[in-house]
Amino acid sequence: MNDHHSSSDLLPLYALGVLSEPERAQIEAWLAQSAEAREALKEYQAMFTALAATVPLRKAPASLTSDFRDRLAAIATNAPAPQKSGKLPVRRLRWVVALAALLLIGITGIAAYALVVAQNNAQTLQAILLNNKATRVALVPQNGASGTLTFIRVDSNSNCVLEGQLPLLPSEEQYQLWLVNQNGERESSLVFDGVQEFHQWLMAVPDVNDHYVAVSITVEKRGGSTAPTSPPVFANQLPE
Amino acid sequence: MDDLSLIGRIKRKDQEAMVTLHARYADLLYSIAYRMLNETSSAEEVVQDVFMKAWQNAAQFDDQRGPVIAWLIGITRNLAIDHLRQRGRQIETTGDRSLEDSEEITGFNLPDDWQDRERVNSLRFAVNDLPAEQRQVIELSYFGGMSQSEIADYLALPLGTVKTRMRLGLQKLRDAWLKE
Repeated sequence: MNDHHSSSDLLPLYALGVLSEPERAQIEAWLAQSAEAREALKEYQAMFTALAATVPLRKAPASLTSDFRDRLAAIATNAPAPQKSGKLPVRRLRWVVALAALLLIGITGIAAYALVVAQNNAQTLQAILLNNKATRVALVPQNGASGTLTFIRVDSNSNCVLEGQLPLLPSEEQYQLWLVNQNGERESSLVFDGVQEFHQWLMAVPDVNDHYVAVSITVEKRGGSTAPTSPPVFANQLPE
Repeated sequence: MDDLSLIGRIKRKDQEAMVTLHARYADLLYSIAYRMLNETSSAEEVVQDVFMKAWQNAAQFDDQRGPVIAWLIGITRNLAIDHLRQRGRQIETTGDRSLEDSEEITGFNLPDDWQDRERVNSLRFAVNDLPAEQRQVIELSYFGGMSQSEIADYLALPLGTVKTRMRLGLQKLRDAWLKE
């Protein structure tokens, strides 16, 4: 059996995603060279999509769409997803009310503190943006990434700013910004989510005395990594 | 509103557009997930996860790669296969189960602008016309995400036999598909 024959047999299995690594590499090499193979793959993919639609039909539970609507709304307001709940006994309800009151006092205090912090952050951010000595560097999308980002720094300032927009990521991933020093070491400065609308992030410079020569952004697991684990999606040199 | 217009709105985080897409395809994706998992709660979970993934990743949808329905079906199949692998369960093939269990509904909601919607019925007939042993290996691969080696182990058959059955069955399906 020659290579073409075995590759033809493997092509639909490649479309199904059930090949071993060596077999997948064999097919991808063939696809890279053969327009005919790529056309055949498209037909298989279309056929397998239609194959899914041949299954016996079942009606989804009536509540599925309304439950999904509730989940979306909960995400939008950052509220916990609605839970089904039963009635509480009265005496337990008193404890719940008392606990809720204590929590409310605590939350109010934390909210007041958070407000002060937010106001300070806003002032710091504006101070950087309005500083006429600030350096602005447009980050260049890499590896097919999309979005628009600008990195803004004032020398010897302990903070810097990232502004712009970049695509949302799956929930288990986040972006991570790295500042590269003169020794080529990458120091993490920010872990953040993508945004649909223009946004500004204030971040601390890892070492205010370090002279950074470049900035890059990678996609990491949620919470960030100790070092980049993937090629950058945005990068650029920083001026001397 | 067609699927592409809905996706355009979903990319701008229009929740109502997302709910509309859910209502449009919940039955189809639930049917696929149920076919693969044979369990209502798991199928429901998969469907909700599919639409949540679609909501989160709508910005990455590229209509040059295929229609919205293909994208959603692909996500459904992948998530259902993940469920199967996590639970160490094998897919049932149509020879194993009673078709009387299904609650048939009429008027499956396939998009009008899906160029292949008329070919689905032809493909269904072609699948039903396959010899049982060829249909079985294709179902284990498609609905179970199993490699040919895994199918050979599962069915206690030589690998060569599985490859031959798969090749012959897929050839018949492809011939029927391309004839349309």
